[in-house]
Amino acid sequence: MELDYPNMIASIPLFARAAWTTLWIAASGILLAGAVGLAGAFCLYLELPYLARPIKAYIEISRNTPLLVQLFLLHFGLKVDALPCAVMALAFLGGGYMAEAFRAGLEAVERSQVESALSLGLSHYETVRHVVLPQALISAVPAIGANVIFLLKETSVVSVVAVTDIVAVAKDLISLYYETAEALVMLVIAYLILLTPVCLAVWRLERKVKYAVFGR
Amino acid sequence: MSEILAVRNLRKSFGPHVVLDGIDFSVDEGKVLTIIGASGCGKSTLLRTINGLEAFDGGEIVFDGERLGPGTDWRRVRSHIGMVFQSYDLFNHLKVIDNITLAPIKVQNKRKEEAEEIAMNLLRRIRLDDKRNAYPRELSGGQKQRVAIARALAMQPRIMLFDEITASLDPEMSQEVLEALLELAATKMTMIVVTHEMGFAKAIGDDLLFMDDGKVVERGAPRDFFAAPRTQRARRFLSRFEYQI
Amino acid sequence: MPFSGAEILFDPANLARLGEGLIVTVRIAAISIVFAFLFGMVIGVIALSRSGFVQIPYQLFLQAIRIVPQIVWLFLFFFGFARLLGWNWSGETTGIVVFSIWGAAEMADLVRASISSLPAHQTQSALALGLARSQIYLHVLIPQAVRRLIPASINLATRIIKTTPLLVLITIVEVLKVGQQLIEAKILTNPAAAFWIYGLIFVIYFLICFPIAVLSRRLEAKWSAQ
Repeated sequence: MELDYPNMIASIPLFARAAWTTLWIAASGILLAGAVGLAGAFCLYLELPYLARPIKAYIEISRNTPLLVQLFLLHFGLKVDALPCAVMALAFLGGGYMAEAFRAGLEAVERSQVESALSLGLSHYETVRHVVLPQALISAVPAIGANVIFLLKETSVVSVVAVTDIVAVAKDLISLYYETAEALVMLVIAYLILLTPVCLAVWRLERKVKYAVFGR
Repeated sequence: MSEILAVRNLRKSFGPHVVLDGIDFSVDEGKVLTIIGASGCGKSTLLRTINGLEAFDGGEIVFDGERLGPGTDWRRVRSHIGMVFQSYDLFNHLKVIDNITLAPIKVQNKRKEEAEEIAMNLLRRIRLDDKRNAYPRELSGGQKQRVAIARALAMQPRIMLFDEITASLDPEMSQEVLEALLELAATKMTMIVVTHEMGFAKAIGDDLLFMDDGKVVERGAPRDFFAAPRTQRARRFLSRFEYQI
Repeated sequence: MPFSGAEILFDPANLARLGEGLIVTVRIAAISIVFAFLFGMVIGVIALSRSGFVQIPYQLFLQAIRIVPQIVWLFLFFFGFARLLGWNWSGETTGIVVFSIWGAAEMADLVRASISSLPAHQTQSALALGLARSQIYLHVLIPQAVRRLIPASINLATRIIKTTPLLVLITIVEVLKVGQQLIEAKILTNPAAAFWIYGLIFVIYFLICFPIAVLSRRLEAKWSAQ
């Protein structure tokens, strides 16, 4: 099988621009998801009245429905524009996963750590800020890292709401110009370039955390 | 000698279960009070009510002339009451030195250098100054517990509460922790020591409470208590230890 | 506003068509899950070997499957291998093949992890009791591994189900595609059709995945408490 290399090289700018869109959506979606997740997990941890039920319901709904259907509902059903829709859907889906990661991290900090901080005279705020949060974040690192990779991969479906991401470019090349093999090779290369550094960074961070602070 | 802590008719229940059933005692400055009793007799709960980790239902606690209760600024009171727990509970994410300086810096607003100087003096006293940059996971159980004591002492408390601090240590490590306590007692630190080590209770205390079922059953000098317990319950409690050995 | 027009959901003909689409979705998911579990168990047991001849291809397979998004795998098989290599696969076959391979890779890793993470002293104390190797596997290791494996593999099943909407992109007429067709037919008379149809599909997916997720969590809690 012979690949049309000049055409592949010619398509690089298209893929580069699309990769930028993918990254931009992923980065803002993941950051928002992190914020939503941390806030949700925190409300659950502090056992705030009235909020626990809706937050738990949100976590279940976001984790038990497909991103593609969330996108369709937001874009075609609620008429949200393509780009904000992609970011919102990713944040909605990711928020549930991130909340679970942070909640598990917070629960991993033993109650007695809180008591000994309080008994030293630290206020509740200082206890959370200096004792609970740092430890919770450290033990949540592996789960958060897995979520980041998962969400970055999930970003690959946003072309269904007419966002020009890498997949959309590949689809166009296939259906308009019949450059099927070339487009698919470029698609795989584009995802390897996007995902490999992120995976390596997450693995390194995980290993660092594993050998660092924990263990009694 | 002036009285620093007085507990009068203290009562507390968890649901239908009465844990503290009218406790009375007081501690004078510079003295060591030891509390013994079977597990579940309420001695840990008693310690925890003194620094507000547990609320109480009735009676009063007077610390340094101030009645403690629902309206108390626990943050300020706790900074004068040091407490050490059975499970050490060093902050896992902080180095030894930062474990000790956290509260002086955040609560007493001490400068970092000043707090570290206090911390290093304490670490030298417990002979762990070479571990200043170690993380808790690198220490043995006994070392962790000595750092936990130093951490509480760094706040320069008026009184120290020790809750079964050797209960999760093997005998050799208990020994090094108990020696640290004896040294502390020699500096005239006021202390309440809840313990299950009878030999230690005999050696360290000026005064001893024997608790059973939420009540103070006997109070007196440790030597007298162990030589001639006055009540049936105390005799039964002590005989259990003989069986164990 | 899109909040009137719910009558599209009360038309039995529409519901029947959605039902047919749902059957396609469930069929593909179910067949893929069965294949994924079967192949995954075999590959996972093989992957227990520490030999480089096993570990290197196994890790390459696993990481390749994981690093490339499922949608890209679907495209590779549907547009790439099928057309370029002359395989005349239907969309449904492609979907089943891709989900089975992906699921098998994930399942294999769950199987490998659930067995290899059993503490060594379990084997040692069984040996000390005089049990034979085969007895140790049968009575000690496998029952414990299965308890770790079942909740995780149920969880994997929900992940496969949640990936099925991607099939709409390779021309399969599953529940989402039927939804699209219904909406297109009503686009002029009922502008809110998309909200109601996609809303219903959203709810359907939740009603399928949520109970399975709860089951997985219950089993995990029950068995980790013991």
